[in-house]
Amino acid sequence: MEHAASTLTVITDKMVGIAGILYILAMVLYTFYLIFKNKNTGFAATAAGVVGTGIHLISFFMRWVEFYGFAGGGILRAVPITNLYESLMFFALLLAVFYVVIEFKTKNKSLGAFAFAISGATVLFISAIGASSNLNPLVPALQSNWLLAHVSLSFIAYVCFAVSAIAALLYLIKVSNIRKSYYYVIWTLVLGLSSATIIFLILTKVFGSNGFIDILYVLLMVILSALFFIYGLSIKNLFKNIDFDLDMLERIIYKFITAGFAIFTIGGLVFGAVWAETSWGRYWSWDPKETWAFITWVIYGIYLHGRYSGRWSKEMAASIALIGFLVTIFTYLGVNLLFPGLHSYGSL
Amino acid sequence: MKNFYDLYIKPALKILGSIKFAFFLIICLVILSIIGSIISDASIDKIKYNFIISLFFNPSTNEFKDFASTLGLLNIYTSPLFITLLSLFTINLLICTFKLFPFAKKGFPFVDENGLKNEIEFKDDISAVTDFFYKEGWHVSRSPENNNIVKAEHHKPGRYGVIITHFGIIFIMAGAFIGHYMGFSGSMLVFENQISNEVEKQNGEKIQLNFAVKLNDFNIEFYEGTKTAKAFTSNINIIENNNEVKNTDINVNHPLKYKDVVFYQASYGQSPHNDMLMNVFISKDNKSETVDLKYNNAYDFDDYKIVVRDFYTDIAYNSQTGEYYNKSYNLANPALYLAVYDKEGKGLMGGWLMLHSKEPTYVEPLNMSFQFKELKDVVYSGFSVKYNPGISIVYLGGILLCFGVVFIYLLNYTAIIFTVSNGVLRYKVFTHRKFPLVNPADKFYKHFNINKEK
Repeated sequence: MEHAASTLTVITDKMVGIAGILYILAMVLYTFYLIFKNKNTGFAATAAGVVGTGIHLISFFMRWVEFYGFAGGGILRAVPITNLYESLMFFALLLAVFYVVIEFKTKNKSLGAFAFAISGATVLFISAIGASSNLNPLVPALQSNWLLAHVSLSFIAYVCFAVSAIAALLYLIKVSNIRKSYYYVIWTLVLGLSSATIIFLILTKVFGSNGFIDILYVLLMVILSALFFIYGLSIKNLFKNIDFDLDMLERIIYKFITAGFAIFTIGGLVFGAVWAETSWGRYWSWDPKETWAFITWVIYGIYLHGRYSGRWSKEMAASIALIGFLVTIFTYLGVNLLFPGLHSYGSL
Repeated sequence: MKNFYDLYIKPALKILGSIKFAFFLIICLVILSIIGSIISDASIDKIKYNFIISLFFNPSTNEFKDFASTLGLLNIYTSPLFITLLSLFTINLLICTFKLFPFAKKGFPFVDENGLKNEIEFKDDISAVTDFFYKEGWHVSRSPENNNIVKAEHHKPGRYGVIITHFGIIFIMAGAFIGHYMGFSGSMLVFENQISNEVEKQNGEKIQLNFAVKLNDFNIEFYEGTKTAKAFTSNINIIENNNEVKNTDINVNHPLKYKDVVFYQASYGQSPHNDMLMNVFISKDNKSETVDLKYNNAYDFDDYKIVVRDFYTDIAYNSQTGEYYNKSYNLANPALYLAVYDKEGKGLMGGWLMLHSKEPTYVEPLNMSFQFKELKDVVYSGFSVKYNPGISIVYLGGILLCFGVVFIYLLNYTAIIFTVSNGVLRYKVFTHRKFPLVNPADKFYKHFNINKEK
């Protein structure tokens, strides 16, 4: 049974690889489009993105069907979002799908480069850390219809937060003109910390966790943040000729956070709690994943209250949106990789 | 002279319900949660080997653990500090929510004419604007003080979204407090064919339930060819006043609820104990029997007494000393020591019988054969047992929370206050959101040709 399943797994894995390459291609084309405003480039970018997304989507459903045949149980219990490999793929896929929908709805291509950069980077990250693509049978705790509701809604919320963070990053890059500005510090710091963290995660996966890598991580955080701080203005210059509609970016941040917050509250927290109550007997046990989900929720809650009260500047709100996503990434990846706990299904 | 309420309660409520206080509490809660997610009872032994921590604490001793426990960091989420912060936050939220109430009921307050800052030229009279809002289905009302000022409100129930959400959180907190102080949670181990009514709480305290659980059977199903468990099920009987009142199966996603006490399948395992049964085949001449023997209980067979004197979980032979010994406490290779006595109690023979031998062992001096065929009732099932009287309040809070966020998301409260005088339409727009999905005011702008950029 294992053997028959693994050939198909290799095919779907290859398809994801192709989709990843198309995402990177789309990112490059979208970047050219942003700079040169060439219509054909724009069309090619969209085509690459859509084809990549399509292939990824097909591979997702193929894996679903295959998993269904492998694990048995209901079709809804066989959604391939049960380990780190599958969930990262699902994240990349959802982000691409969301972006394609946004592009067709708003007829605006300015976010494309960033959305596909993240999708492509996620696929690359999966292969870099060598996450196992094998099908694993479901442990009893995951055999529940809540799996689909809880995990997929959580991921949709993560993707909403990712989209808002892309818009927030662009917004901050666009509005911060000098190094002295707070917002400049925030976006360079976020870029520095997140790139250091990605390198750290890859190193930990390759060499195993040890003291040297911990120290290197701290150093990397300092060095990369400093580098981004020093060269941030040149990054900003790249976007000099590209005019983003700041109002639109602001709307995207806000729209996606409200939607993401509602979905996260219902699917991530409430459904998660109900499922935990039915299978572990505790609706909330302050497991690291739950704790960090709580922190994420609080940060986006702060964002919404700041927005409603109207006391905050838009820049401030965008900064919180960006920081919120940093915490989201930690909730999703960091917790699974660093802390043991009840949500340990998502390990490598 | 000021009374007690004005002097103490009012200022206290003001501080407790202030946004700054809420912010302070949230920051404290977030910081404590972060610490709690890193340092816990389970993780502390791993963390102390971390390079940075080993600079300050010696990893070969319990220095770091002692340090953390003096600071109360080991069980942060049940610490008095954390619970106090949560209670204060709940009170804060309650006060803030009550402050929203009159606002929610009446909608946006009327502002006087000077507050209507936006102006456009307008030929028609006020009824044209009022009619437009009627047609669009807005809620239109006139100011009680000045009949010329009209307020039109869209998605009026949207005001309640925030209140519903806040009450959801308050209910969840209230339910959690009730559960924490009035309920209990712990674990119970029951061996097959055994009865238990004792729940051990995490702090070691033991609670006696007023009914008991008997484990009839425990089953594990594995995925074909793997060691991954597919399902494990305990078949149990509930025993109350010596009567079996209920027979049911418990498995991972299907707990049992009886008298508000919930049993969840948590773990399972094997362990030898004094009440286990050892199924032994005995034969002499033409007579043979298969019997369940208990540890140290004599069994009469013909003119002999047969007793299990010893039990090893993992027997091994030491060729140097020529003796059997117990290699481990896992049930890897169980064996029993069977002793045979005559009627007067005089010892005749004794020897080890392994569980997995295929043939009966023939003992020549007695002309008897023995075989250790089966080991019963060594499997135990672990339940986590919980009594939580606050759970329904928590669920109610969860439902409110879900509805609240959807309400907030879908219903966007907007109020437009306007007046027309001397050919000028003056208005002001209040909206919940600066950048809604669809701005309800857009239709108003469009209909009256207002360029909203101004």
